[in-house]
Amino acid sequence: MYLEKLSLRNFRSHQSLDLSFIPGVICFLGNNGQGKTNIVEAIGYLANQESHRVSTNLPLINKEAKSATITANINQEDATTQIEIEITTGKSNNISINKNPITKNKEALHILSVVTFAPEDLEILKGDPSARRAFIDTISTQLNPRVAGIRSDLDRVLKQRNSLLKSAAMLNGKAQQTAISTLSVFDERWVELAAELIEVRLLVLTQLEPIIAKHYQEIAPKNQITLKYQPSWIDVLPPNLTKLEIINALNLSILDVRTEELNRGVSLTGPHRDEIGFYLNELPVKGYASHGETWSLALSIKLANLTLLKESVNTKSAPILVLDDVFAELDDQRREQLMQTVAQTEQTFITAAAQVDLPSNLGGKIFRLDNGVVVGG
Amino acid sequence: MYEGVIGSLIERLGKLPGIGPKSAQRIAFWILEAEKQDIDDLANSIVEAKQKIRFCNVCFNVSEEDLCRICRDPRRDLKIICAVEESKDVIAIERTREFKGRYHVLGGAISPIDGVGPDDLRIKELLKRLADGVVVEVIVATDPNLEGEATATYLTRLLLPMGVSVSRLASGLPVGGDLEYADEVTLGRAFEGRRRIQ
Repeated sequence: MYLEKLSLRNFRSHQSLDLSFIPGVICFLGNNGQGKTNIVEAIGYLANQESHRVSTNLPLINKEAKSATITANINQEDATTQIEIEITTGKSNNISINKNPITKNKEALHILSVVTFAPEDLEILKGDPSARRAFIDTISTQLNPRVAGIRSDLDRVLKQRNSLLKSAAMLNGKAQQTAISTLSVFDERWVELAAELIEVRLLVLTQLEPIIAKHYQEIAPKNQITLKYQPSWIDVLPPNLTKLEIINALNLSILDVRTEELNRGVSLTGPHRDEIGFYLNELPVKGYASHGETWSLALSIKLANLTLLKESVNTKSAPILVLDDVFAELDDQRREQLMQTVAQTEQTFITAAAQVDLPSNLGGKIFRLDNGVVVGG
Repeated sequence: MYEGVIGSLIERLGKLPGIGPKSAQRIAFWILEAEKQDIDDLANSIVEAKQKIRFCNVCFNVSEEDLCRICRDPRRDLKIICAVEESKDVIAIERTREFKGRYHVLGGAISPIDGVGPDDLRIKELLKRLADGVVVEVIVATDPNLEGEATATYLTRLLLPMGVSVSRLASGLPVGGDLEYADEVTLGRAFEGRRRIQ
């Protein structure tokens, strides 16, 4: 698939921007602060309904406006689909497909698939566990849009549950008993949803691990990458866990932490507290890997993400690749590896400060940004 | 902004559900231009409704008398109770003309975020109605969302030990809709609740 047209209205620095593309490589060149990344961020948002830079919508909307709009024409097997997202704060976005408003926004996740590789991806390896959970959940959603629904339902139950725990902590006697029996009602639904998410995460991790390891070995032979899911709800994760076994383990774990949960007023066990460990030759990447190794692994992760999406039966054609400010950070060998993938991708968007940062054999169409406007190709 | 009488009218209209400041202003000026008789009627209806309408002693549906129209009706089946969240839901189910039993309006759904627990709902009153053994079935018709489902589960746990049969409204495909447009959760539920054709 590829983008034919992209229009931005009040998206970050771009009050009004209209661009047309053909398949192949498209580069945005310009000094810092000209809005190169904003363009590719919009492309990623269109596909995943989340930004690779921020977790809330507010920064995406131009200061002068109340909402931002991204419109794009997507060509897939010679049929064009138009998708439009109006980004708002405080309520859910308005999305239209071929000018027809849709009521369930996650339906739009089926249409476009985009994999973005950006400096922010180093957070997957260096940041908090939440970055790794977000990473695995984003891939899971790309592979199976149903996961978006599980995640939002799970967030809602978790909020209800936490609110109940907080109020139960302040009660005593019969009132606390009522609160606890109410809690068990929410627990039932929560365990069900949590088990679904964990099951998907484990499946995606087993698919992802060998592909990441293979890509890493192409850069650094003889090095072994392993991924370990480290649950908060069981001490040792047995192999090939079934959904029913996950449910049973979660139920036991809830009982275990009940007293502590009541004392602290928060949910202490479940997928929102799980960790995904990345290991390089048996040593944790976080804290042990060098800057270069971390970049190589981040690159391998993204290439694996792309491979997995290409192989998935649920995505009709190859995803669009976005490379945001990454070439300058990579040495020749890694650039070469990335170039091979670019050559096999139908459409790739690249941002860079200067042409010298890009491989000389890149080719494609170049847009230059000056004073925030696209001055030419 | 506006001062005095018109200002306070706009402010009060703006407190109505679904009415923003602009709509409140439009309604206020409509009132100023409308026939006096129409406005007197409107004002009287509001005052009268607030004075006369109260809750049915049995089912807590809105009513003008101690018992609502449905609880007074001798043709209604005393053996079945349909538990709903709001009076609005009674009207929706009545429109189907499928249900011949009586209702019980719970007054909401369990939602800890909003500070609504089981004790804030009319659950005790429902249990009291079941005490004499006349009722044999309770249909739990709370909304098919997280809070509604939680309320249904909570009720079911209380009701089953009392020996009444408990059922939940089916959820699945909307009539007149297209299978291809149903979301995965709804379609999944529809599969779970499929019926064998005899």
